[in-house]
Amino acid sequence: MDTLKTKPKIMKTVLSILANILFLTVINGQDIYKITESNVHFFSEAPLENIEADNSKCQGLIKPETKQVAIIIPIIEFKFEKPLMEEHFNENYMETSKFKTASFQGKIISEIDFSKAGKYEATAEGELKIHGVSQKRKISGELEIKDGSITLNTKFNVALEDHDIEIPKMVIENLAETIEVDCMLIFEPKK
Amino acid sequence: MKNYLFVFILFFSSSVFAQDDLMSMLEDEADIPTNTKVFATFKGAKIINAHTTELVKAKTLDFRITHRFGNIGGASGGGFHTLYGFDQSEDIRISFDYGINDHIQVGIARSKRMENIDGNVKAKILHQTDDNSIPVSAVWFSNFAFTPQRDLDNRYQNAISRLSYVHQLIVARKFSDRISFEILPTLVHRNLVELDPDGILDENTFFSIGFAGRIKLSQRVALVADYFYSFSDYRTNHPTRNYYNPLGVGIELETGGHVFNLAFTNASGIIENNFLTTTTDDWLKGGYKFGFNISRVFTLGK
Repeated sequence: MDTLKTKPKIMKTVLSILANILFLTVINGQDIYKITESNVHFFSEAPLENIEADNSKCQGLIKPETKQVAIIIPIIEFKFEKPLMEEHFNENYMETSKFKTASFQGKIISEIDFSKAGKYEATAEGELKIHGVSQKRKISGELEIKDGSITLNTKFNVALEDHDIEIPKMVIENLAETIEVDCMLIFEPKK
Repeated sequence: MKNYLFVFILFFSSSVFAQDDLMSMLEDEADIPTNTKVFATFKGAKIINAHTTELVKAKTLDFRITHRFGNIGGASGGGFHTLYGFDQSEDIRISFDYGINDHIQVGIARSKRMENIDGNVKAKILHQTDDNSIPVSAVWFSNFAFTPQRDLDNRYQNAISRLSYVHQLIVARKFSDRISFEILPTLVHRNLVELDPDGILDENTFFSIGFAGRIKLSQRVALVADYFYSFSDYRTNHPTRNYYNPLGVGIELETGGHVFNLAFTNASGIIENNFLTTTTDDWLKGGYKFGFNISRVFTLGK
């Protein structure tokens, strides 16, 4: 009788230990890093007036296990030197009340060993969505892996035409048709 | 058996989680501001005659020249021989408006009519938000105008009698990207009013209500209009003089940095102290004039 009773007990313990190990390893394997600091700067050089703005309210995740990247930028958080420029940017060009965010969703395709500290050249492939229009893009930059953080630096161009951002003919001299975007993103483990 | 199931569920649920899309996870937790302020309810300080809820931005100076030509219609002194009013100028106003911060603006100006020098203040009370937690924008506007005219017929007993005032609440709502509307309850007071040749005394103070709107026809072109209805017995029931309520219609052309406002109105004066009290031209008799303004905004600080 006794042996019959204890057998399932042992089984129980073994199974729950096994389950815990399995469960824990799965969680560990999918550490996710989250943006804790960001600066997205864009610059448009034009004969009459350079236009630039900064955004520090960028939000995003990186999952080293799958090398997936997801980034969301709230457009309204772009800050300009001239408030009137900010209004035109939001109302006439980005139509911010309709398209509140820009985003990038993709995968890092370069070989990167997230367990080793160092600097890596990295290219990500995915969809860049601005002004409600998605474009397949390959974006290159530099990943710096340190203990407990990942820093991403990238610089790329956005052609306004690719995202249906209209420039009226009368201000064409005022605006470049391609703008330069400069990103610095710091990721730390998500709690 | 229960335990196997438990383990299975634990394992299964976590592996499902692992496959979950990173973007949808981010979207779930992302903090995208929803109660942001609605911008560009109107594109300028004025519709045509009516002030809007827009203020000059903080630390910027708006230098503006507003112009009203003469009547276009021949029956009201316009027509071919004045090049449809272009030979005349009913009023010209040169103004400086400065944004102290995002909530308050002060201005000074000088108009041709009555040589009025005015000082004014515009203060933001409410700012409509995207999520409608504040459904309207509201602005308070007050001014005083002083006329330094030469006193040829001894009308002015003292400097105080040369003053007039306007107080106005402006309540606006941007209904959609295309349509904005506002209501302007207005009080106008002049320290000096006179007996007219008919022996009737004008009112020192009367109340007026304005309506104004803007409809965007395209990303760059908008149709604008404003109208004031005055509760003035003197104006509505005068036996010999005809007063009309000011009506303005116009087109706004946006070119990125500048907004061109091409307006038609029966009002001659540019400031409320003037156009609410002395509009005697009738739209139906060609008593409307072309008007425009040019404005240059200077950023004076950060």
